[in-house]
Order: sequence, then structure tokens, then C-alpha cells
Amino acid sequence: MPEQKPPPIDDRDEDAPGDDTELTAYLDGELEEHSAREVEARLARDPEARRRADDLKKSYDLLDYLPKREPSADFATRTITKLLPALSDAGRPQVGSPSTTVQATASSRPSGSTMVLEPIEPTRPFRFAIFWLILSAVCGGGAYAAHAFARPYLAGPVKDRGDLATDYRMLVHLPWYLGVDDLGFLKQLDEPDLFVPKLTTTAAVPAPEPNGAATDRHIELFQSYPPARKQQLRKLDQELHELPTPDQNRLCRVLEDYALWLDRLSDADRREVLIQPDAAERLEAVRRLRQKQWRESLPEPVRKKIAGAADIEERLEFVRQFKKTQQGRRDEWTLAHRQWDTLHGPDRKEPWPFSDPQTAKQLEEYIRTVFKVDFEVKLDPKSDLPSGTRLSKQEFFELRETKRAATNDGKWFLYGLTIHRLAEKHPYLPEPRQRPFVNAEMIPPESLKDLPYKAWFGQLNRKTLNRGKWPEFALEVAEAPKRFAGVAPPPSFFGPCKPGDFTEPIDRFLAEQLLPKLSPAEKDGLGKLEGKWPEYPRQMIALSSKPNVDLAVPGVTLPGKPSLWMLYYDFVAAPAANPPAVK
Amino acid sequence: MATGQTSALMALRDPDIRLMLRVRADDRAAFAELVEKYQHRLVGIMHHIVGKADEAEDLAQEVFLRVYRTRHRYTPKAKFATWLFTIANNLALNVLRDRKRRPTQSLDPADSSSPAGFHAVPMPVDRAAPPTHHLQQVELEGVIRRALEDLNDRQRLAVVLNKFEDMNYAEIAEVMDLSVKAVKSLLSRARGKLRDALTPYIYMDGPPPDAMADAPADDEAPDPEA
Repeated sequence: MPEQKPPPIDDRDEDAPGDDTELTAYLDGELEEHSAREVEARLARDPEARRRADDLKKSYDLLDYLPKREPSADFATRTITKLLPALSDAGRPQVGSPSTTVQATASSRPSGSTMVLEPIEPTRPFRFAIFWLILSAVCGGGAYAAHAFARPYLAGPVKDRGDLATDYRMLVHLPWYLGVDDLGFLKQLDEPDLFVPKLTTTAAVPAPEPNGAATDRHIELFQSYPPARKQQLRKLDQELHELPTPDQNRLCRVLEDYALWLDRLSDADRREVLIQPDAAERLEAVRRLRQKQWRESLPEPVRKKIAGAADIEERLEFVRQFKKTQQGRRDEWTLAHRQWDTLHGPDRKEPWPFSDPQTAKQLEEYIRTVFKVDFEVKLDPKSDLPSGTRLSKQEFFELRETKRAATNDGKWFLYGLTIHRLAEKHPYLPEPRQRPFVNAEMIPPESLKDLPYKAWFGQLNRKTLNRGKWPEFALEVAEAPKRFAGVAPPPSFFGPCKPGDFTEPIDRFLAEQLLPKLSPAEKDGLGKLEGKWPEYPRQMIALSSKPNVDLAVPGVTLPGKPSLWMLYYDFVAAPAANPPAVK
Repeated sequence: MATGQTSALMALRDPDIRLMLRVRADDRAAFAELVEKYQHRLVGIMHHIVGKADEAEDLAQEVFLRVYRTRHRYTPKAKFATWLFTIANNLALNVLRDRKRRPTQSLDPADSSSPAGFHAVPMPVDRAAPPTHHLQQVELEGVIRRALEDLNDRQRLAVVLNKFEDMNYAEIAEVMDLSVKAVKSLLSRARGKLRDALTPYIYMDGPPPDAMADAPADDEAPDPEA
């Protein structure tokens, strides 16, 4: 052990009392039996000895008045994380004698997957994060921040300077990045049991406002990292900001939630996350803690029910059901926020679109004609589904259940949400005037002269799951067979793809409503797609939902303004307008 | 494999040795457990020795750091706590010695751990003049801390280990690398000094016994056995 031996004992103690050695040892129970008896005899005959013994004992007891100093709450985590570099450089000789002022901060191994601490200048990452977050919430940025940020760069030689503008953005986000290694790790945090962003917050996360002191400390912290970790942080920041805006916003939410969660954990729990040797195990530790927190947050009866399950399968089923219910409630609440005014106005109504009788009626029609679900008609005994429906069994059940909950219990939000989701998942295309192309038998006999083409159709008929479904079957045929391009029927065979080909309501919609609202460029772009299927009808639908048009394509897209569906029922994209504030 | 057998026997007796053997085998969770378990004792002891909270934490951290760095060389031969406090003892003595070479004065007069802070507390010099009962608890603490500080470093270490870690003389001897006889004498002198400094405060929390109030003479002190 590289211990430095303490100096030799200095026995020349001043004012040594001399003859109380035995008495003290007696009081401490350290004397042999015969010596103890001698001391007892002396105490019995000598009142002065008794007084001295009493004073010795009582003065020693006074030391109990000294309060015991407890370690600070994060002592263990600081200590452990500080020691982690020892893992990677155990074989490396320590330079100099360890000082008592060694400090550490979070950084990462060059491998990029492990969070370790390097002995460097004083920083306590998570305290720092709290400090930073509070400060940045309270203070504004501005010129001082810019100055404070630039100062270390201007003041003297700075190693590893990097790009000022990029580093600045990264430094602003630094408290969020402390517990994250790379974008892959971050993406894995984005799942329902971990840090899926709250649905009410689809807008961009405001970047933390920097302030001078915090920025200074950030620069200090960042400068203290080894080059590999610096590079890793820059990469994380860069990759994050190169993502499409909605993904970026979403992951920023995840980052923020994760950083705050980590900050609020107990010291022991936070340590549990940080000491994991790699990202996979850290993720597992995060998952364990989230599950534990979730279990502990459950109401007593639910916990009892889960604990009382007959076997693990049943327990998992309870948990699954409970989570589903919880998620439903959360969604419902989020949606309720968006239509708060309607719901709590003087004449309380169902939420849009159910509040508008005409749109509600069109919606029923939409479900019947587009989803091909008729709740009035008996189910096909073979499939247990409405015959010809475009929905899967699970989707159909979900639609039916949410409709029932809406009409019986007023849960209109979930019904609207389900309809919106299903419409997004199964986009429709305008039907042709004649019967839509839904199976290979409908192919004109003259086209079947070509043998490979015929063979392929026969194969398709046997294989495809979409047989009988519009527009899925036509899409599958039109989009898949590149090698049959030369022998395939003309695009117009699959479906309508120019004005005049559509059914009368669509043609009228196109001529009277859509085209007049389009800009010349949009009109031109659409015109160029004439004769192409499915490009033309798809572009027609896309243009209809643009903010400057905002129209439903009759019998094809959901009735009512597309912007309202987005505003009230869309969770992924940012709402077109701010949802009404909760009062 | 005599060493192996000794290790096994020791480990059976002392669960902390078992823990340290896991640390030796690079078990990170075991190290976390060890820190969790000993942080309170180590920080508490270091605080009594050096008198400053932040320095006590730094020292305790340094002790754990040394434990970790030298884990591969650990051989179980005593109670684990004894081994740990040996490291703590050596570190504390070195730090205290360095401090004497480079004395620092606290700028904060209210810092009770500094001499300036201590001298703000009036100290009766004569047991015939009973301490004022207005002396507050916090002042009493200051007096006791000062009495502890006035011991020399080794005396203070021995007292702290004996008083707050409940170590017997043999254990202290092992930690401090002394003979049991030397510990006995060290503690006796330390206790004598503490008695001299603190006897005036013994009865602060209650009325002084009649013998002392009525006749401040020597011979009528109460019988300790009474």
C-alpha cells in the first residue's frame, strides 16, 4: 500500500498526569483481573482517587455532546463515481500523492458507452445540473452570457477549442446531456415505460436560457472532459440537431425529462444508474427504477390485486390492462385540455367533431364507406369481422369498444382519437366510377394474353392479403411489380388519376373547391401528375389538407377541417394553433 | 493454501471482509455497498479529527479512494474496520502534520473549529468558580471541541477511535501501529488533559452535587460507586 508512514510517536506529552494510567484503563475495562482488583481497593480507601475517577469518567462522557457529522446526501455517489476511472487505469501509476482536494466530474470512456469520472477540478455534476437549471430558469441570458461564454476563449490558450457556435449550443444543453452517451441511448429512452414525452407538449422545447455564471461553469466542466468525451458530446448535439424538427423536439423532451428524473432520484438510485459499465446495462437500470417507481405509485387496491395474482402470467396481464387503462385516461385528459372551452362552456357539448351534427353524420358514413365497418350488420361468422372491412381484427374491436364507451359513458375523446389514428394508418383513395380493382379476375381478358403477366397475377391472387380491398389491392399491384412494368396495364386501369375520371362528387370538389384555392405552382404541380396513379389522387389529398386549403375530400378523408383533426387529435406533429389554455 | 483458508475463515466471521473480497474481485456494486455502509462512520470520525466538514468529506473520500486503488493487494487479516481505520489514521496524521507545516487561519471568526472562534467562548479557569449556566449548548460544544483539538494529534486519534468507534486498546494499537502499552499511556494522558479542560463543565446540565456546592474542598467528592 503506498501509504506514507506517519511520523514516529511523540511520547513527550506535556503535563502528563502520570499515575492515572491504571485508573483510566480500569474505567475502560482494559485491566487484567488482579490489576482491576488493586484499583478497586485503592478507590475504596482513597476519596481523592474516587473524585479523580469520577471526573475522568464524566469529562469523557461530555464528548457525547459533540454532534455527529453526517455525510452530505450525495457523498456516496460522488465518491463512487469519482473512483470509477480507477477501473480503466488501474494499472497506471498514480502521479504524485493523492491530494485531499481531488475532485471529479462526469465524463466518458473513449469507447463512448461508459460514464466514468476523471479526477479534475471541482465539479459535482448533478448538483451542478440542479444549480444550473434553477439559475437558468431564474436568470436571463443576453450580452453578459455571450461575454461570459467567450471570455475563456478570448482570455488565454484554451485546449480543444472546437467550433464556437456549435459548442455554444452544446454547452447550453449540457445539463441535459450529462447522463447520456449517444443518440442511440437517447432514442432508447423514448419508450412508453421510460420517458415518452407527455402528449400535451408537442411543441418545441425552449432551449435553456444561459446566464453568465452558469455558462462559465459549463465551459469549465466541458473543458475538463477528456477529448473523447468532448467529441462524443459534440456528436450527440450535432446528430440531435440534424434530426427532422418533430423528432428533435420529441427527443429534447425525452432528454429534459430524463435529466430531471435523474436529478430528483435519491442518491443511491442515481448511483445505480451511473455506475453501470455500459449503455445497455444503464438502460436496464433505468428501466428497473422506472418500474419500481411505477409499482410504488399504484393505488393500494391495484397493488394488492397484482400481488394476489395466481401466477406470473396473470400478474403480467393485470399490469398490461392497468397500463392500458392508465394510458387511455392520460390520452383522454390530454385531449380534453385541447377542447376545454367547448366542454366547459355554458352549453356543455360533446367534443368536436361529435358536437357538430352534420360532421358527426358524415363521420358515421365515413366509417361505413372507408373503414367498411357497419356496426348494424352481423359479423362474418368466418372472420368474426364485418365482411370486407379494411381494419384488422384488433383495430375493429378497438373501434367498436371506443364507440360503445363514447355512447354509453361519454368517452368521445377516445373514440375520436381511435378514428383519427385508424384513418392515418389506412389512408383511402378516391374510388373509380366503375367497380374498383380489387382482384386479379377483374383484369381485362385481352391483357392476359401475355403469359408472364398472367402467371404473376395468378400468383398474386393466391398470395395477397389485400385481395378484395380498395385501394390496398390496387396499390399492391401498381407499386410492387417493377419487372412487369412493361406489360402492366396503364395507370388509369388501377384508379382515377385525372379530372373527369373521378366520381361526380370528387370531380365537383376538385373543380369547384380545391383547384380555385391552389396557388399557380401547386396547380401546375398537380397538373403534371395527371394520368399517374396513385400519385395524382395522393397529391390531391395532400393539397386539400394544406393550411391554405384545409378541406376534407368527400368520402375519402375524415369529414371536417383537417386542421381541426390535427389540433384536437394529433399527438405527433405540432398542432397548427396553440390549444386553448386550461382555465 | 494457508492464505486462502485464513481468508475463508475470516470472511465467515466478518461480513465486511466478505464484502471487501468482492471489491477485490472488481465487483463495483460491492464497492458501492462498502461506501454506503462506512460513509457515516468515516465522515463522522474525520470530522472529529480535522474539525471541518468539507475537509472531513474530502478525507473520507480519499480513504475510499485508497481502498479502491489498493484493493488487489488486500489480504484479510484483521477485522475489516480495523484495516479501514488504519488507512484513515495514516491519512489523517499526514494531513494534520502538513497542516502544521502550513498553518492556515480561518477568516470566519464564527468558525468554532478555528482558534479564533474558540477563544470567543469564556473559559473559567477555576473549578471553584462554577461555569455560568447561561452558557448555551452551542458554546458547550465549542468548549468540548476545543478541548479535543488541544490534544496532540495522536492523543486525539486514540480518543476518537476509543470514544466514537468503541475500539479497545488492542484495536487502537493495531490501527495506530503502537504497542498496547503505548496506547494505554497515550489514552491516559489524553483523558487527563480532557479532564483538566472539561471538569468545570461537568455539572452544567444539572445542579452540582452537594459536596461540590457546599464545600469546594477536595476530600468530599461523591463516591463514584454511589
